[in-house]
Amino acid sequence: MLGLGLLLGIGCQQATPAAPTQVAAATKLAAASAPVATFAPATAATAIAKAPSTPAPAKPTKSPYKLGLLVALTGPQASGGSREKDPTLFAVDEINAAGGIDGHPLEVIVEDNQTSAQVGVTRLNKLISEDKVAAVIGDVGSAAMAYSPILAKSGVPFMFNGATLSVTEHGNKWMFRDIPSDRYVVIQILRYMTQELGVNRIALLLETSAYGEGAGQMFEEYSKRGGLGVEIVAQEKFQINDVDLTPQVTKLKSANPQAIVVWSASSAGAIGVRNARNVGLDVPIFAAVGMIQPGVIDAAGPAAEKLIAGAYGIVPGEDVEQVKSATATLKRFVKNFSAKYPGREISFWELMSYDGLRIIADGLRRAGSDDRAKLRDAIEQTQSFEGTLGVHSFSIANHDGVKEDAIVLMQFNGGKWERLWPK
Amino acid sequence: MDTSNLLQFLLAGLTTGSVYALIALGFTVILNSTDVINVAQGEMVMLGGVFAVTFVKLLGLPAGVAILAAVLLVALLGAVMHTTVIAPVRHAPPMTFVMITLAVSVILSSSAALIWGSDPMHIPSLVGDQPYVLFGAALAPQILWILGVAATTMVGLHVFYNRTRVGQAMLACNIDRDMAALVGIDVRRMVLSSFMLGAAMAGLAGALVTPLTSVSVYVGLTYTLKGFAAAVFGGLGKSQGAVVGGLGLGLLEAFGSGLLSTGYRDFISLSVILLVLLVRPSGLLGSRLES
Repeated sequence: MLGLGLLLGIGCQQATPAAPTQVAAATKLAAASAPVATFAPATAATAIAKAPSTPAPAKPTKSPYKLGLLVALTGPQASGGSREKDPTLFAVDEINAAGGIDGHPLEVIVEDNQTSAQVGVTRLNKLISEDKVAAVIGDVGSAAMAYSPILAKSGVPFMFNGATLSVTEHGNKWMFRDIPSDRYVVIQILRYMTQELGVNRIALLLETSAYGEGAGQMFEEYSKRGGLGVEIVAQEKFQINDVDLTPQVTKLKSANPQAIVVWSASSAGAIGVRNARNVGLDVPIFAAVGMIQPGVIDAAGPAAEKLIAGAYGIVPGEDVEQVKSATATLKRFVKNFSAKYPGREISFWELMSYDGLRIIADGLRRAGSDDRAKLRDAIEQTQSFEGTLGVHSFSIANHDGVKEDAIVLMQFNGGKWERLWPK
Repeated sequence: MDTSNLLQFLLAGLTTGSVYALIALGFTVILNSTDVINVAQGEMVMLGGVFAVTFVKLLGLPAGVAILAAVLLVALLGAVMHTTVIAPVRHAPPMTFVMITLAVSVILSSSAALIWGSDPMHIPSLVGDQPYVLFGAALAPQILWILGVAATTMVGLHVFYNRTRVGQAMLACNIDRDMAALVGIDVRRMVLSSFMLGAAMAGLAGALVTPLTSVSVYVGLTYTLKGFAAAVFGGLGKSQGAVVGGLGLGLLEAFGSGLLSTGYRDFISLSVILLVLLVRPSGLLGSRLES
């Protein structure tokens, strides 16, 4: 009985729309601190004349603009999904405290996709037809391709918090992305390998998911081109809940590569790194951004030393004031978010979630309504919008907000990530 | 493919295999004493790992002590589970127990997610990370530990059942509860002890494997499936079957992915198991349920 209650309790917690607490939190924030309005100018810079110009932000009184947040709060990817919720709602609070969007408060309805494309599809349909949201923000897992036809048919803009290649590269004009595509991470890794290390024989160890396999296709594409051309001498796969990759790394070792690349967002990837070192693969190991997530790298143990991984923005533990490439928005976000959530690690999950919501809010402001088609056009016209990950620009041909200049390679030295390249 | 690679696959297969074998043994011990297929067995593996991490990180216990404490705590949890949801309905049909233990499994993993969050957790190896090299194959020290502890546990269980009074009493309860009660064995206590023993073995598997693989609150189901597959493969209800099935599944996975394709590992191992079961429906060593 108690167990059943617990189950129901958990269910309710996930299903409850965040709206009521949201509005309450927003009012509290507005009452407590007037200077919050200082964040507005950056947003207003790209906004057309309609931006509110009242000196003291009024409490938004018009009907709310509804948005959906569709992330993995349970299941294997919950580690990332639960990091997306708070920063998204944090951005909403900021915007509502500053008067909302032309007097319309933002309201976000949170849904859990349970790390499953099937569940994600039903939740997405619910957000679109029942909640009638103007746009949805969310993570990918491997669900982007399942969402794609629904988004196109219903005409709903979706801002993806996910680097999986295919999201913006299969011609769906409703799908946008707020972090650099894996394409750019792959390019930066290959540049570093060839220009700095002189490596030209590499082996790939890929997670069997859209994330891992998409990156594999990228490496194959660039391996045949001049300039970045490297030869892929071996390629092995693993599943996200695998506990031992010794057979895979043994096969990679036989191919005698000069460097290996592990593409994974799960601790199985870290296990692969450990196994690779154990079987005596002593070449440089490169990893996907997913490997920088808290907890993931731990499974590699001491084998994580010298691992090189792609990263965006800042990594946990880094002092943002010391980061030359940090935008003013990033510095402000780190300061304010840390004040609200003391001790919380800030990684790319927080940054992309914050940027994604703000890009949509900026679109709503310029569209002048929550009409889905107008909002889509407005997002597509976004130019030089400063976020935390970099400066976002979109166009008809380009639905990726930021590109390779938002990527930095980090190296794991003495138990922490340090900037490696570009300097 | 040179011999050092084959040796490497063999070591990898034996390591995962002995973890599967421990889980399968836990299944078997519980099945024999209660006629329950405990679907929550994988969650016991997860909790063994999570408890061990908590004891090391939060209480600063040495890894060996932490593992022992984790195993005891999981055994205790097994006792609670048996007393609250298994014993009160002990005459229910088998499918009811599948449903009950499935519910327990979901409750355990959801509660664990609430308490520990969803990030993977990890503890350092008991015995260092520098691998030994054996005929060109690398051997992580923790693997020796897993193999050693698993082998000791399996032999210990055998000795326990065949050489001690308590073990014999448990065995008697497995064979015929009413007769056991007639000769003066405290059946209820024996069944409870068996359930705790089964849970403890799963907890041990989890605690042992965590330094190698790290643990997250979502790994339970995978371990349930692997342990169950191993138990059926070897012969459901037989201790030796659980060991053979576990090692067999581990080796199939390692050689399947090593020699054929890593992307189709589960496809390969489960196809082989399916073929074996088509020829021998009661598993490699024959099922207890057969007779």
